[in-house]
Amino acid sequence: MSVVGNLLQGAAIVYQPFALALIVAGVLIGMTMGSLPGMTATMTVAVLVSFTFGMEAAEGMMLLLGIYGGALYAGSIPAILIRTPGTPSAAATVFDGFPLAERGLAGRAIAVATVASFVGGAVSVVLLAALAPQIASVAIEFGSAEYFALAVFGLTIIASVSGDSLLKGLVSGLLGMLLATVGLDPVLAYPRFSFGFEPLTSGIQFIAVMIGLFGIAEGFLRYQRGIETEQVSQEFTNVIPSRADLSKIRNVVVGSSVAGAFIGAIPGAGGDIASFVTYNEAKRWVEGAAATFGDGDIRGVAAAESGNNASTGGALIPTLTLGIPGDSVTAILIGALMVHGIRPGPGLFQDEPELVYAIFVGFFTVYVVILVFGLVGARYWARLIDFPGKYLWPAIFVLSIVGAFALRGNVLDVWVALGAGALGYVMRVEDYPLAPMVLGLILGPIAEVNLRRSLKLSGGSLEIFYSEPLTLGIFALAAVSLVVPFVQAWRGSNTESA
Amino acid sequence: MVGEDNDAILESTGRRRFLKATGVGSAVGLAGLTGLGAAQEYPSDDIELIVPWAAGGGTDRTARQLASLAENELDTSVFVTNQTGGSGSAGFRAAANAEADGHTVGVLTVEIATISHLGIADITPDDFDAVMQYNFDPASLTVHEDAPYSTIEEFVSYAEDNPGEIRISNSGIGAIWHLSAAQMAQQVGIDVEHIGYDGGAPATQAVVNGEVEATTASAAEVAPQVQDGPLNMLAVFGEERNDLFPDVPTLREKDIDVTIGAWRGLGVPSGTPDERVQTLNGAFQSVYESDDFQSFMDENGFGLVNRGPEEYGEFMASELDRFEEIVANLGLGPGGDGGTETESGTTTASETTSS
Amino acid sequence: MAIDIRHTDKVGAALLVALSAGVFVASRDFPSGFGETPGAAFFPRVIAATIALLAAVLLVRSVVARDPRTHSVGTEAVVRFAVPAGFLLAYVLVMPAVGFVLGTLGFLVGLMWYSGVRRLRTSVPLGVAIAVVLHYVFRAFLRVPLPEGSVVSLSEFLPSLPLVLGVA
Repeated sequence: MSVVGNLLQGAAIVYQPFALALIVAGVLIGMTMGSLPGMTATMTVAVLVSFTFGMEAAEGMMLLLGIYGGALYAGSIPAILIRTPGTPSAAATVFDGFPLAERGLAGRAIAVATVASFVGGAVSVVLLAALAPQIASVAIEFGSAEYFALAVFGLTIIASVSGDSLLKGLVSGLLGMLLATVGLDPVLAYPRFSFGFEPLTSGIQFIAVMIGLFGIAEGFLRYQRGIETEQVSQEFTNVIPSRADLSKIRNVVVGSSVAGAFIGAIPGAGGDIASFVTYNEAKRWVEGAAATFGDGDIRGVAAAESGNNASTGGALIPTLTLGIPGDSVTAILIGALMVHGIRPGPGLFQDEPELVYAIFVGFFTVYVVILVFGLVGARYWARLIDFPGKYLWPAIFVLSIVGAFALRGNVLDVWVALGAGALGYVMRVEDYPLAPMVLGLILGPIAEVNLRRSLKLSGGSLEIFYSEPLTLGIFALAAVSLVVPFVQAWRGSNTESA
Repeated sequence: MVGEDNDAILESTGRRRFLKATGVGSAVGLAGLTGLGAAQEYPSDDIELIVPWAAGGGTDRTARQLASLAENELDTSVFVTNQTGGSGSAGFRAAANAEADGHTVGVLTVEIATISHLGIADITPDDFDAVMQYNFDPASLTVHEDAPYSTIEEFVSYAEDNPGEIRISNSGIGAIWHLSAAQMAQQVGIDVEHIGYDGGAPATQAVVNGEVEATTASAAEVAPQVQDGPLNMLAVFGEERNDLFPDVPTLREKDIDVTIGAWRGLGVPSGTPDERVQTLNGAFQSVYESDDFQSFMDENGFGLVNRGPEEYGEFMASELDRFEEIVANLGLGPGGDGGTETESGTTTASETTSS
Repeated sequence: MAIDIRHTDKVGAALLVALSAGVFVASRDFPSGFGETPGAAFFPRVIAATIALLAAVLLVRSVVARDPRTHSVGTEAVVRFAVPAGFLLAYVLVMPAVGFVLGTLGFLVGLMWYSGVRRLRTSVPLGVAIAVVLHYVFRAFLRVPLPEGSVVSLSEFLPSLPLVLGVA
């Protein structure tokens, strides 16, 4: 079927009252949570994903994508107003956004952030719709050996996304892989690490772990550090960007949008990394930026905000085409689809084209809704910043517990979420990054089953892994992505001590 | 009898009035309010249909169709819950452990007859009273069109000449297509490798890509790749030929005495009063015979086979015995090996209609 | 009063090594693969061995750095973590007995009280609203029954919603 026909089919699913209502609801929820410091997109999606279990898969996606885009955009509001990013992805927005607010130009900064987020998101969705079907049509030919190589490549990226604590990031990823081995062995169907406890034979539920790591653990951390934020929000007006501002940011936004989308497409690299990279690149390339960036340059806000929202469409590329998550939110989307019995991967484009194209159309619509709500209502969301945590966090705990229970109507999943909450809390306190664990949880089983299947296909010969140039090429990429961060870390520590 | 009911209703109306007064909302049905007094009337409450597989899968979609059509027959709300995990055992167990009052019905798929042999969970058809079978999807043997064999006879003689060289993909180790391939191989005496994938679609794709030589996924699952793709179906494992592929012979026609495939039906916890089983069967039987249901099954490529309570019970018992032997011959027995987390049968039936 | 928990990094590394050892022990009876292919224990053991290796590096690094990572944990901070954790634990443990609605109400009112919402006139209606709305959303709309109490059951008293709302 033609691209236009597919898009029309997708639009037919999205442009229904219920689906549109879900998009609007998702954006509203996402913007609300994103405006609250400490509420991440991942957390919001994790604690609310259970609400989608009773819907059609495509409808559920509309709600979750709305939250995803809305939260990543609205994270910029507290970043600009009170110097506290609403989501980690908005950290780079603080650099120029807050200085603008100090000069009384908060409205101008938020207007720029709104437009930049819209363009970033919209460009990334267009790239997604253009590239994903092509990638899927190549990836459908992948055999077990290629999949094993891809999973290894995804796992080695853990090293690149671990930031300062390379070793701890790797440990976190490995713990995720280990956790995922609980339950039936994928080849022999032997119940591993279930210790004779039957409910464990079906394994640890991924979504329950995500609820624990990102919902409950965050709650513990907040309570320990104090749940109330400072009450320093600021009134502002004028949220429509001026024509002069728009032409000033045009080039930065376009460049950062494309760059952000490609960074987002790297497994495990989400909006936080994308916005830092696009901010720094803009600083390097934009004329005169070195002097003015960090001092209230709207182009700095534009670079960071288009970068982080562009990462969302990018993150969906590997998610939909390969079943490998681009970031933590898309990892939960994979989990949500699997609850509906849908397995993301190249086969999705053959088996469920309506769903795929509904996601494209729906996500684009999400960004249009964000643009409207942002320009019209940013002022109102700004008032949410000091919404008292004393009401919010108890409710988030309840949603976490209900969400875990609703997964299968099973108390075991609630205990898994609580356990993951405690583990996530300890890991956060000890500076173990959580994103690698998410990658490990998803990629570990893919790596194992394809490794063992490949060896069974080849009768035990390792030749299956080096006879095809494609497989070899992916392994080479994996080696590079593993070695480079170590070299960088080593060079960094050398120059420090010198 | 009626007097008891009245008491229960009066009492609950009182409670409802109290809630209304506190502004919680108004009541419509009495569902959920019935005490023990109402036990004689059936159905006196919503009926829950437990699907042991994920929403959106083949079993789920057939069950939802049955549920929505049965609401008229039973004059009550019939709703579906998905209780997944453990190769179906979580949902089977939930259904088996429910109160045996006919308000909980389990969707029993072929796994109920296999998972106890595979050592996954100690649950069998004996834990249920059969209500009705409504579906049977036979396995098929499908190969690549470029292969050096284009009939089932050539396939068998090629496999005989090249022992261990034929690799047959299935939807997961211990899952129904694996057991189907194994029984076929045992029956004709060929030596093949079984390779497990995550469901029928990837298993089919593996034949397209040339990663394996054949698959035993159902006709509906391979249909698009046979009709418009490079695959060639050599045989179906059913009693009769498949309507979609009238030229493909059954194994029986080729003197291979194998009939095997995935099936679906309904059951209630054992010990459910017989008249309630009959009420349920009557209702679901009318649904089964309705044009709505028949055309739904046809359009989505689900095979229609119908058995009543007694027949279905006997059928499940014979399946339980048959699979015990296949599993033992495969060396998958208890103490460990066998079974996977993939739903058997036609999981993505939209494939057949999209072409 | 503050308690110093010293060498948390070394303790962490030691725990990781213990975990890897545990994996090796627990996987000793796992079946081997068909023919030459890796069995069920192969993959978990590779992961566990790598974790042990990295933990060893972490340990060595922390010894060499002579900079024991110390968490100064004030009693107050412990309480601030332990109280919500305790509330959650009690919530999950008590829910099977009292059901979702009552359990949630108790949890919300209790934790909100601890968090600073001292006016019961605020917290109780809020708790009731959240519990009842979630009950209906999950039961009637999403068809996911939440736990009903075995001892006290409030949900029995809650009327069913009109069937129109059910998406069967």
